[in-house]
Amino acid sequence: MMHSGDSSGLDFEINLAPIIDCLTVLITFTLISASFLSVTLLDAGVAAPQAQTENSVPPKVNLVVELQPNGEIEIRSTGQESKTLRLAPRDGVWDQAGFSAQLKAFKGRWPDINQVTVTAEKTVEYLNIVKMMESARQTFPAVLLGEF
Amino acid sequence: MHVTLAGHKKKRWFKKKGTVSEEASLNITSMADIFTILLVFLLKSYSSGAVSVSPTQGLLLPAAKGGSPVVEAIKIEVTSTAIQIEGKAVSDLTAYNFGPTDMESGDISLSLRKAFTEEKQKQLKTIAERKERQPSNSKADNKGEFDAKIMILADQKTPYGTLRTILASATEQGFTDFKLVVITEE
Repeated sequence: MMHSGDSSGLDFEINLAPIIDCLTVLITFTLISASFLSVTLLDAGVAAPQAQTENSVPPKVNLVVELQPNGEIEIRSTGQESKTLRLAPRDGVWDQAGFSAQLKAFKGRWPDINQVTVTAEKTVEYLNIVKMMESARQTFPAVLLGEF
Repeated sequence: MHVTLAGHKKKRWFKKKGTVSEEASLNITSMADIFTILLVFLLKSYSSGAVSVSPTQGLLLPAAKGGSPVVEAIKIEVTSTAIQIEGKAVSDLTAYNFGPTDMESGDISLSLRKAFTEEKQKQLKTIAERKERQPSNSKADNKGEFDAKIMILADQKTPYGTLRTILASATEQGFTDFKLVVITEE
């Protein structure tokens, strides 16, 4: 506030230097502690008797996919359609395109079936299980892990 | 800082008035604005995820497309040497495999059974305490029920045998809703 006759005004500036210091420290801290890894969750139920609820109705057809360490995929259906199909490996690995085509064909025959059980031999790596689950999820909304 | 101005006439004008020395300071107001916006943005992105998942160093998660957002659940980490539940080592592994003394028939691990039993007891105790405190609200939210969710952070090289043992041991104790943590693939 200026008084009459006072020649000096209140022309002052806030010292921003310490504020900048604080902000720099805070930004550095948040950048270090922040995680830029984007992760999501793949839902996986279990195909085990303990996981079944009392009122659950068993599906007409049970579809089980088993990965073999040699790159072979075994697709087994039990119930009203009993069938076993073996997909040979393509270029030494699991034939994902063939697998997806077989699942789509099965879904075409049984549109009411919404779940598939994915299982594997003990030595098959988790990465391959996830890849197969990802393929299966394109056709079946519920992917279970089992059988044990 | 002395400011020298180009132009002969101006120099002369300065000389006439006397030597003028201007103290030039860096205008940091705009810098403060930028820093504030940056900080707000970082804090917002930091707190946007209700649950944060940070895998331990050296753990390579598999990548997959799709999936659902991260939810609150019991966290299990599987590395080549150990299994951790909520950051606490519960089972020792040798090259991703359980020791023979740890295994029981039906693909159950004894150490995991113990750990899952403890987790279940802990959860049931919390539910009972909450119900005692707020009996009227116990049915209003799902926190009054047993939470069967488990979040698995497993290294991509983990063999299915080990994963199956974890699933079997958890299922035995009533944890049946598994969430596999994967890195989002573009």
